[in-house]
Amino acid sequence: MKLYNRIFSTVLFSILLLSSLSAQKKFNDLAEGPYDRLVIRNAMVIPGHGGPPVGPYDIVIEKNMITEMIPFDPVTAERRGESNRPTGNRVIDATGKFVMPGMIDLHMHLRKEPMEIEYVYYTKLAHGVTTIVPAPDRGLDKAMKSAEQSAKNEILAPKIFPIWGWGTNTGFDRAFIEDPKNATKVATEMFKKGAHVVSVGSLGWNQKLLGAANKAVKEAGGITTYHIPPNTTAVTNAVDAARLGTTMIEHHYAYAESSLDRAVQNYPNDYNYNDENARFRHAGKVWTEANKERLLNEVADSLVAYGVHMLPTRVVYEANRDILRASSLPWHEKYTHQSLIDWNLPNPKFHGSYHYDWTSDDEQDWYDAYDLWGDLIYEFNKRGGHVSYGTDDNYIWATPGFSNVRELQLLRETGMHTLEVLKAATHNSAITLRQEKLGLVRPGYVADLLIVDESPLYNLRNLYSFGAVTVDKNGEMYRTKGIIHTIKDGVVIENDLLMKEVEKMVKKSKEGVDPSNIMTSPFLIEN
Amino acid sequence: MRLRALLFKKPMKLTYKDSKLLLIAMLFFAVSFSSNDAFAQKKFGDLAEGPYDRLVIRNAMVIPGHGGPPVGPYDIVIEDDIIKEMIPFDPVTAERRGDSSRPTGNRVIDATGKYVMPGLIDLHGHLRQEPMPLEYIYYLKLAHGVTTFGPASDRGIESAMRDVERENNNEILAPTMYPLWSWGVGLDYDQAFLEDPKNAARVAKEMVAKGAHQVYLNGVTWSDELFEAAAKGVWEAGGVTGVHIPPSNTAVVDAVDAARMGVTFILHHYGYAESSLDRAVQDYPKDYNFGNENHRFREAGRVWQEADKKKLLGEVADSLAAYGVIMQPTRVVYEANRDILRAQSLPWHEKYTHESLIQWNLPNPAYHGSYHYDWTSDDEQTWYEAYDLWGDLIYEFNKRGGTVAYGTDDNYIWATPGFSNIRELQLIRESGMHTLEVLKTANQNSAKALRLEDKIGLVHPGYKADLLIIDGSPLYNLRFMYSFGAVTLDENGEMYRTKGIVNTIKDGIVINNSKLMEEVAKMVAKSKEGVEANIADEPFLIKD
Repeated sequence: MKLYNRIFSTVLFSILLLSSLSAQKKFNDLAEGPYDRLVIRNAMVIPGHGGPPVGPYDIVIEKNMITEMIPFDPVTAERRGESNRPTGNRVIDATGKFVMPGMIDLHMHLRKEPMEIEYVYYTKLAHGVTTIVPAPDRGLDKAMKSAEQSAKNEILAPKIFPIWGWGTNTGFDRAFIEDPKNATKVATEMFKKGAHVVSVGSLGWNQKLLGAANKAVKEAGGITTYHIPPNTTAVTNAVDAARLGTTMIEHHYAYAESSLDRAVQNYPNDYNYNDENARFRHAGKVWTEANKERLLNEVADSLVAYGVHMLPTRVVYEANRDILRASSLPWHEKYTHQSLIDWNLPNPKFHGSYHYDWTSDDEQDWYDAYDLWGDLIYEFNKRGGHVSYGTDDNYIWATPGFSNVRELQLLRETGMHTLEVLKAATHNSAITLRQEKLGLVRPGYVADLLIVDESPLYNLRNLYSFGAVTVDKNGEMYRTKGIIHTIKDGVVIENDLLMKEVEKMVKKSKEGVDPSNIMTSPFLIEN
Repeated sequence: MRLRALLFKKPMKLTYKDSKLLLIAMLFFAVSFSSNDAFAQKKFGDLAEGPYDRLVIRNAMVIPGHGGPPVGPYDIVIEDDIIKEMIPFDPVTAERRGDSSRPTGNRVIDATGKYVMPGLIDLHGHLRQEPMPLEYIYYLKLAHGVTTFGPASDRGIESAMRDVERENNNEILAPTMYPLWSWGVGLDYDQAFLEDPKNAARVAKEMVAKGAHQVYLNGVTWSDELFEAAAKGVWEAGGVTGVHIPPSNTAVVDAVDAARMGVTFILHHYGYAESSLDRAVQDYPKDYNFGNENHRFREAGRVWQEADKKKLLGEVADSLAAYGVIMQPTRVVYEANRDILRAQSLPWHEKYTHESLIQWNLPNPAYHGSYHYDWTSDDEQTWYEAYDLWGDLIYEFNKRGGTVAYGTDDNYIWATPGFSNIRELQLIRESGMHTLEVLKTANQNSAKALRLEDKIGLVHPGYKADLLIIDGSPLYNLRFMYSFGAVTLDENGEMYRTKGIVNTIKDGIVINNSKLMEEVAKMVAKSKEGVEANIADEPFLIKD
């Protein structure tokens, strides 16, 4: 008995010892922290609110908060008359590097097994995403559990705010949920259970209900997100959604429709909304029907006036304007999970896999659509409208993480300045999410930070895990190293090690897979 | 058939080789009445056969090449290298004619469900250097529908002209070629003589006499007097002139100037935005060096941001159309500038892009066109916007009746020959022109640019049998013209890949395009033996 007790207490002691160590070693070599005091030394800072780079700074982080930023530019340092550098439990030399806020991806997908959830988290983190708003493709309970685990740093993942469908997990029946009078009750019940981001995508058929839901969610402290499906734009278009108090409109839908003289687009007579090829084809075509003048003025003005936020997620539709590009991106072999490849390949049975008869005219319609959609985003932003950031990735050849960087380029394509683009992904998306302590590099803000090898302002592609080619002072070419560390809640992540883990998962997923499919077969070399 | 051609078509131009062929052919003829075809047919192994005394393409839908819509089906009768007859078999015409017998010949190709259009005329491409085999280029061009080709004479004008002749004699399997001659090339005059405008007519005449047809005036853009005299001289001698207006000389000759002075066509994107500026030069950064290619290409994109849009799409477009100059955009070769990742990861690089080309394409300050060693997202953005405005200009020019022609400038900057011919069509489409107009640029319009519009560029009796037989309509999907086709659905909703251009017919020779592509794959496999990772693909290679 005594012996047994001793063994028990030794085991207990070991467990305690392990758990105190585990604050630092929990993620093996992949990450460490948070620290009592972490210093990022000599970093150039991109603040996140659109202001230009400034620095160098020594940034002091205690636990998960930025507590101090001490400038070391010659003028300020001279004025201060104090050249001591702060120190801490860990000091990261960021000389020549850039620090910006972690990115907030307001819409993306988790998809399903056998794709490991870590695959998604790691690619996101390694490409600078510290907060995600996932569609809970694997069930809401699982997503909420992951959110809790991430908040406690029990898993290595971005902060998670899962999307709740209107009325989910409330136990109310459909009739109750769809009665506008009950909206406050429904919202209260959802928020009691942890909801924060509520999708109103299925309420477009009823303006009263949509308005009531938006109001109730807002009052409960949350936000609403709205993918306006083309099958209900006859009732609710983008301007309606804005007027009815939606927080953010996702994607490209319903803007062009807001500029039409009539309430429906000119669908072909054999159109079937459930035929995805037709759905996506005509979702592009509606932009060619748009009244440009009205869209870029009246519609843009109204959207701004109603205060709705835009969440373009341009990257997930890029395949529509250039399918060859999408299917042959250079990372598919090494970093795109085979499950994704299988889901991406054209297949009438899968959602988002509608490129089984995608023509050069479809590509052209979408090229034109991007152009006009970009003009709308530009005009909206110009008028003071609020553009935010999401990818909708893990669908349609958009590989998680990689698509986060491409999304920045596609926002840049609208003509917005690179600083405004970075603002969309940081400060603007924090405001959209009503997370006031996220999205800026500033004392008092959460230590969700990126240490980027070279300036994303100089080249957005410097944010890719594989960096970009540039030349040194001697004119010699080299590749920049991407985001070296993503810091989430003060936890310092080794991004190159994350990508190695991703590589392993992908390799395993491709074991025994015939490399030949309808997209690759013409390009495979037969031995 | 060869015999007939020699006896009746080109009797005055018998070369030694021709007369040898004639002799052999007569020998065959003496032995057997039917064996003359057998001789012509086997010259290219299983890659190609023909031309035929009488070849029939049966039951084809036709895209005429002048912008008109598809029409058919037709039975197309080809004798030797000329389209002789087109017999319509649509129910209305067939019923009226009251004769439903189908024509026949030495060979009949069933083109039921297929589309026939004129061969593409690529006015500008590059041959580069050894160790890239010339066949690599010729085969890719043919397999992607190019039957007429204007190669820059990268391997010397003698070499280019030798292949022109070999192709004329059907000794090699290649498109019909009109190499680019620089001003004064091949003549013994010194620089002072060549640069004296008074001598331009004489220089032009002698060049054309030596076989020049496309003459490039890039080198004389520093002097408007010389430029004008050269353009005029070449035109009067029967040739055509093209110009790539280098940014170094737009202060002297911009696009509207070049058009006014009578150049036949303007290549690429240069000189247009400059024509809309208030001053004659763009606002170069202070450390600009035209000899630094990164600077050169970066600023060549930026000049479009300086352009006066209204003037460019109004006055400038009007002037260009009024002067009758032809635009040859070659958009595909600059596409890497707006999307370098796309260019480097195109799906055909591994199997079909020759390793020499990969090596030349990779960023390298010492090579021409390899300036992406510090290419930023802002550079891409600049070029994205440049394409947009350039596209608008092409659209406005075409709308005003301007002639848009077709060239790729490929074999540079990640543009793999042949593949880039299809992408170029898409990039012209991107300007907003209709697909039928896009196809017209590569057919009738480019024939016009070569002053050959009465001989090539149409599916029409009397025109040369330079034709493409395509699996599926390029009007439905331009990507149907890629050698690897495109994914589509059959009547049962099952996916399949179309077969691309099944046969390219050049001078009546029927080419087996899938066989050509097999040859290309072999050349490329050989070129890549022992090749290691490079700065572009290294991050994506899987290490075992």
